[in-house]
Amino acid sequence: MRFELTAEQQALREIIRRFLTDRAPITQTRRAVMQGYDDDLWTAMADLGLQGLSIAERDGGAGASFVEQAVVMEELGRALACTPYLATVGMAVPVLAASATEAARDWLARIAAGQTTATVALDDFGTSLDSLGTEFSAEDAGVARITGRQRLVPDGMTADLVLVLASSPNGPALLAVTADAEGVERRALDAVDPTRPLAELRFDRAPAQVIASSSLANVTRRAHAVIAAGIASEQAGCAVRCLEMAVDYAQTRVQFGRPIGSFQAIKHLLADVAITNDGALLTARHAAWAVASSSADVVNVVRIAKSLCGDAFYSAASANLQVHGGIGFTWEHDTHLYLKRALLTKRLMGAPAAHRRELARSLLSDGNPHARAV
Amino acid sequence: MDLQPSDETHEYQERVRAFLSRVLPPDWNGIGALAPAQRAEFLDFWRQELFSNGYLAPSWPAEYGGGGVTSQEHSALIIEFVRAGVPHLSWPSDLFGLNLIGPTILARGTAAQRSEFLPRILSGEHRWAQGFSEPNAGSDLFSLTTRAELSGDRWLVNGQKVWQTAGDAANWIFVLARTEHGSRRGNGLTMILVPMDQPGVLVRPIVSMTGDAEFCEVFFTDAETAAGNIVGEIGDGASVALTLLAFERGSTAVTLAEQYTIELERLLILLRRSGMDQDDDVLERVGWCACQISALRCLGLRGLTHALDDTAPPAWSSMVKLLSSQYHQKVTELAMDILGADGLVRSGESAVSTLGPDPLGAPNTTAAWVTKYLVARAETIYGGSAQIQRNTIAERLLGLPREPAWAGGNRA
Repeated sequence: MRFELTAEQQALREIIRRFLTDRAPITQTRRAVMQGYDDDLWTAMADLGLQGLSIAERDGGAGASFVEQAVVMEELGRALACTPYLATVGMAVPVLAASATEAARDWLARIAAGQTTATVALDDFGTSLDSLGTEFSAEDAGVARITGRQRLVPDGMTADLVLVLASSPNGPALLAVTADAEGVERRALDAVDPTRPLAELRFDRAPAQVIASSSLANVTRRAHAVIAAGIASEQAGCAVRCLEMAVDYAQTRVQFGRPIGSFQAIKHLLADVAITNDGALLTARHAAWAVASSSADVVNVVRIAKSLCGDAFYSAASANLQVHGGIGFTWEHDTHLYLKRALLTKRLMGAPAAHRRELARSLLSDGNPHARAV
Repeated sequence: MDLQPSDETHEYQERVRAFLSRVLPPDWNGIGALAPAQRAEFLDFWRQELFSNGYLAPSWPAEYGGGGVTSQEHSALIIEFVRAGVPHLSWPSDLFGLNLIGPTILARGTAAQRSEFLPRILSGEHRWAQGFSEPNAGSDLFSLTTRAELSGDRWLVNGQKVWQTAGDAANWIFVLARTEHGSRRGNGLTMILVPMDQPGVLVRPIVSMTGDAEFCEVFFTDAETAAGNIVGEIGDGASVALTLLAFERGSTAVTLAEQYTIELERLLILLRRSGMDQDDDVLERVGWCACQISALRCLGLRGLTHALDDTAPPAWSSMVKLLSSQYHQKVTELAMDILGADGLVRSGESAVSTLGPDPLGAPNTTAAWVTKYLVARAETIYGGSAQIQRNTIAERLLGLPREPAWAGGNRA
């Protein structure tokens, strides 16, 4: 038992951190917010192999485990990088990988090569914990055409590929719709978090490719856990950065003749953030390991991580703003970018409170105390 | 990252399981399920079994009667014990002997002290209490005033210590005392080992808000001990005390997580019985409990990993203490809220353990939960208050500046 990143995983983290410091400083994120994604950054990420990191080698990826994937998520979160990585790699890849059909593998190869960006159109932003979305209806499972609407699709304006779970006369199916297909209408939303754009998608008899139509319950169950685990890792990385910002400021900002960090009011606030951050980071890594090793309790382990990381990031972002005082409230300061990211990721794939309730229901119905996740 | 136990740990775990199924009766449901009168008898039997099978002090070196196992194996043993509902520390004094002063003597004592004290801790001849806090030195431990002076070949100890768990059952006490006249703060302190069966030592129980006497206070009036009964050098007591306090919380996170799991399972039964198991607010709080236990366990597993490398992150033990004490207050508040008005009257069998969560098989009664709820109020106070732990985390882990000393004035 070693509850720590291996030397290789730590080296990976250092490489990603240096890469992002160099290529995606937060000033770059601000430019990306104004101008859309930085294609050069996306290409550089592909050159590093980040899109295909956890995609199987036979599908053109590097075949790394989800622990490595989670390390990359932590670092991208920390840097608040503005890329379609979460939608493409964090969301679409787990859906495609869980489907494991020829069609799915074909798309995985294109994502691994950095040629395709993708997203998943989720019901209720993924809050419904046992399905990926039901708002669409496909007319025919043979030559599928899809009609329906989904709000709040992450990176929906720019994704080349949209994955949709739809009902059809032949039962539910996972479908792929390319963004340039006829009958696809996209509308950018005035999203609160400027670093992760949201779009509304409308499909009017849009042609769709069937990705998977059997064992969908298993596909969605697995994909849900993997997506939520990835978001938890991103949140944990973001939360760590918020605490660093707050500590740095508390050490240098002088009021009443001393650094504000010497006041217990500030110390205790940040000590509480430190402890919730640590619990978040550790449970996120536990969840990443559970995903990587297909552990039997993976669903509950991920629920724990998504609950703790969502709350930890939100608390850390709020405390960071409070410690910075007035300057932290300005557009120029980065505090609000993290706070807004915290708002978004807290809701994506289920809010912390919803996960806690589901976890409790699962514990209440679990007859075997030693199969527990807690 | 690899959360699977190593082959060695797994093998050890299997040996422990075999031991448990050999020694425990077939109808065993945990020590909590024994009638109160049978518990003391079982604990004496159990302690002897642990002693003769090398499980009493698993991580001490074999030459001093220990099991010589790694911290990961030790932790695996405790987990098996907690799940089986048997204690790894049988007597209240074992926490102070086996877990605190024993390891401190191993780390800082002389060879002669190891030979003298360690076997007697194992045999139970010496039953230890701690002597740190004083009426005017709680969170501010180093403001203590109990003093000790060398007189010939004896130390003479004078002063008062307080908050001894099961102090009335102990016959030895480790005392942090001021041995240099006029010294201040952490300077001039020495860790002294004092026998309690003597006229100069008076022990008085303190009845707490639970109505029970979980703690004692100890008065020293020219209490004597041999000149050689100090751990570390004269004047080195502060550093020895910190060594000891690191043992106090170092190994507890994984154990606590396991004990809290047993307790939460008891709470789930209470919840089903209450009919409130569809209440969203209650469900969310139960889920919160499960999340906290998991965070604590992860913190413990990382601690065990660092122990393998002989490192410890700064303020790690403060994190464990803060997380666990706050958790235990919240979970016992949840139990009280589930009990509702019923929780205003004690009924049914009493709680089993003095401090901390009750073991497997313990009664799921209002009397037991009320005691647990009340005792948990002390958890953010004893062993370093929650506020002191936050200071420690802020200063040692985050590197925030210390608060300037009070300069006098404006005093009400």
